[in-house]
Amino acid sequence: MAASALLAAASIASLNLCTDEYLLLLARPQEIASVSFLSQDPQESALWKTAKGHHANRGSLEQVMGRKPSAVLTMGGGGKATAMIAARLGIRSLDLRPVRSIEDVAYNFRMTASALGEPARAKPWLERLARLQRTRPRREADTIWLGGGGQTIGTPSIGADWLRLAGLKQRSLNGDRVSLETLLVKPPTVLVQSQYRSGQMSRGVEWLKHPIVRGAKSRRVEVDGRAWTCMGPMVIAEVERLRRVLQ
Amino acid sequence: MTALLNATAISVDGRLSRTDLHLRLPQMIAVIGPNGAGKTSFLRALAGIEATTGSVAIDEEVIAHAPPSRRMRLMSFMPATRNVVWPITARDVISLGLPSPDPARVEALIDVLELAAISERPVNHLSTGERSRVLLARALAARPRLLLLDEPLSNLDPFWVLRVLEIVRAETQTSGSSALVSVHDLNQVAAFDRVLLLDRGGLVADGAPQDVLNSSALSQAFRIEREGSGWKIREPA
Amino acid sequence: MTRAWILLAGALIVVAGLSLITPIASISELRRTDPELAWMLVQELRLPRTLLALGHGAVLGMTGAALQATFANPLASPDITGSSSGAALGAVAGGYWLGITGPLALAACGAAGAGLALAALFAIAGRRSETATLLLAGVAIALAAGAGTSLLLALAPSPFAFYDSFEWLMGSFVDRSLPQAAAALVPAALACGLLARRAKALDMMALGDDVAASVGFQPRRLAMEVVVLTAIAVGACVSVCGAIAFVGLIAPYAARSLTRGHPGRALIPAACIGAILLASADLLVRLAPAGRAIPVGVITTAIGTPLFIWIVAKMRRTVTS
Repeated sequence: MAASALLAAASIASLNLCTDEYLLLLARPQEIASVSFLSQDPQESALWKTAKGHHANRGSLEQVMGRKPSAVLTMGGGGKATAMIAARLGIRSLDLRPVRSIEDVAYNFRMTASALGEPARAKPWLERLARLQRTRPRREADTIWLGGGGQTIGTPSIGADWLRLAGLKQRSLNGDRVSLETLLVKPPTVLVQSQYRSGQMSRGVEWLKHPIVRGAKSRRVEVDGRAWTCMGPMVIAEVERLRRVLQ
Repeated sequence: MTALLNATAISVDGRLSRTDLHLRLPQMIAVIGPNGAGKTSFLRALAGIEATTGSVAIDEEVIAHAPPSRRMRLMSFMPATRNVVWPITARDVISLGLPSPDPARVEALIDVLELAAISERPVNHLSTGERSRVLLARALAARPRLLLLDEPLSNLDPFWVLRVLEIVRAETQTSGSSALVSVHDLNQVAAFDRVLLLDRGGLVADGAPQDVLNSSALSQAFRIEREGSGWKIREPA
Repeated sequence: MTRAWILLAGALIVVAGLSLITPIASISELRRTDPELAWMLVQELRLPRTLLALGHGAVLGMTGAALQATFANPLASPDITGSSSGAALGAVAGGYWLGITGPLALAACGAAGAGLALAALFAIAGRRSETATLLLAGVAIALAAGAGTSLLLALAPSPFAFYDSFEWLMGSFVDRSLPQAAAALVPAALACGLLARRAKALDMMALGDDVAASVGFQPRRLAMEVVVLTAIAVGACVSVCGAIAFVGLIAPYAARSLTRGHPGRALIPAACIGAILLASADLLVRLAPAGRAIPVGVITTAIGTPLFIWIVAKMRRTVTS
């Protein structure tokens, strides 16, 4: 019974935008049973092209039951129903860690790879992570990460950890918001500005068009906000890019 | 001598058929007619408020071309409704009738119409009779060449009915102007120089009070006939 | 009357000044270290906010007075007639759905929305209707427009749009820029200038349409002009700041007590009082705990509602005969 379970091809369903990232990065197309609908939205995920064509779910196990997955990925608990249904149907339920440190990202990679039956697949990613940590720049430039409406990254946090790997030190601010006044009076050395949904109107996006933001006297670098939603593996490429740009 | 009033071919769709009115001398004219005859439409057409056709000229000046400050001196109109929504004082309402401030004139009118006790009261808190006198004062204020008064005597007690007729007569004599006054009570007609009878949107009689009162046109219009110095219902023919 | 004017002017200057310098801490600190930066802070952040609070308040006051004169009703105002809500709906439809980005174009969308709301009010209630009819029709339009605005925001392309509804329905002056202030206030100033010129005609309307027409003013055309100018002024301001309630009701009411009840003469005083009221409300908003944003409309509604109820109660006791 166990042997046949091992021989059966893995087919994994992911119920969550953040767990989708690991699945889409590690799995072959035939190994993906379902991904969350958000991953197929170009505005939400940089992996949308990869995600296109797969079955889309809205985050609940009953929606993916018909695909007969061998395992299901959740993050931060899937809710009672998920665990119950999974147990009754003999589906492995894997709860990945909500990312609070770089180590959590590594852990999630290892879990996903082993669910796919090939732990080795995680290796290149783990090496990339380790290299990032080994070669952390010495300097720590005063930085503010800027999202719509003045949203920013708290300290300490995973976001701040990622920025530190790029040689940037997120400034500690009151709450998770930076005010226009701060940008005018005490601009940071580096301004990391997210382009998340910048083409779609919202008050938050309008805020970023204020003359004070536009004219801020900082070294400005634009980033793909989609990666920073989950603070997961997609940020690795962002950090590498930030390093190159700020060289 | 220039014509005081030249109203040519004025009409109001559905209410008043084409009518002319020419006045050469200052006169006090009563406008009478049964309900729905078009008295109000006639006065409103003369005031330039609503007319489908025709033109009105006072002292050879076409009122439609006159700016408001000039027009106030040519003509004023007092509507039958006495509704004022805003708490404006009686004194200020009277002043609204003047194109430029003239406190002496306002005082004189307050005096003549005995409004001193209520001159500082908001007009929407006055009784209908008091309000009528205030609005009449407003219409008289600029000493216009032509006064158009729609039912000014309704809501007035008998003293004021007689007094208002006296005051209008005095004003027209002092300034050499004319007044067209629509009245409901045929007994008040005797105080006027001339009577216009309207029936079903048309002018059907025009002459001295006694002549019009005794005319068959009036008898037909009101469906009443003279009996001595009073009236009785007219027998259907 | 002159004393009242002096007091108004004084209050205006005080409120404007406070609005420019509150909170004072950062400015006084900067003045020592980098005076040019202090000046920039005032110019780029405080000035737009102050101008918009004063300007929007003035617009609401003056258009409220004009609407009240036109509808011959002391309860008409941009919010109760639905024009503010209509303006928000127009601006939201244009910005979030039609992808319109230029501030002036958005102001035009706001004006279109406000104009449509007022046209709907004319169609439903007519101009010389009873207070009850006018109120019900206006409130119905305002509620419908508000619900429509929320719906458009909930379904807009950006999922963040939904959280903007508070600002659109209750107003905010926070973090607006000078170009935005210009896009709102230049059209508004032009429209209000033209409105103010009709004060005498509106005063004569107090005696009724017929008397006004007999003097040579044209009531229907005047009403149309008031509606169009109101739509432009309110639409432009709402497209930048959102809809703010009650200032357009209270300011004209206070102004008429200064002008002895004359509705037309009250236009300019109402503008001054409206500016003072709204700028003061915006000052109060700044007292909120840090990090919490209270939309300015919450303050104006909190103060305005009891006053509104009091006005309605007073109207019941007017002698009618």
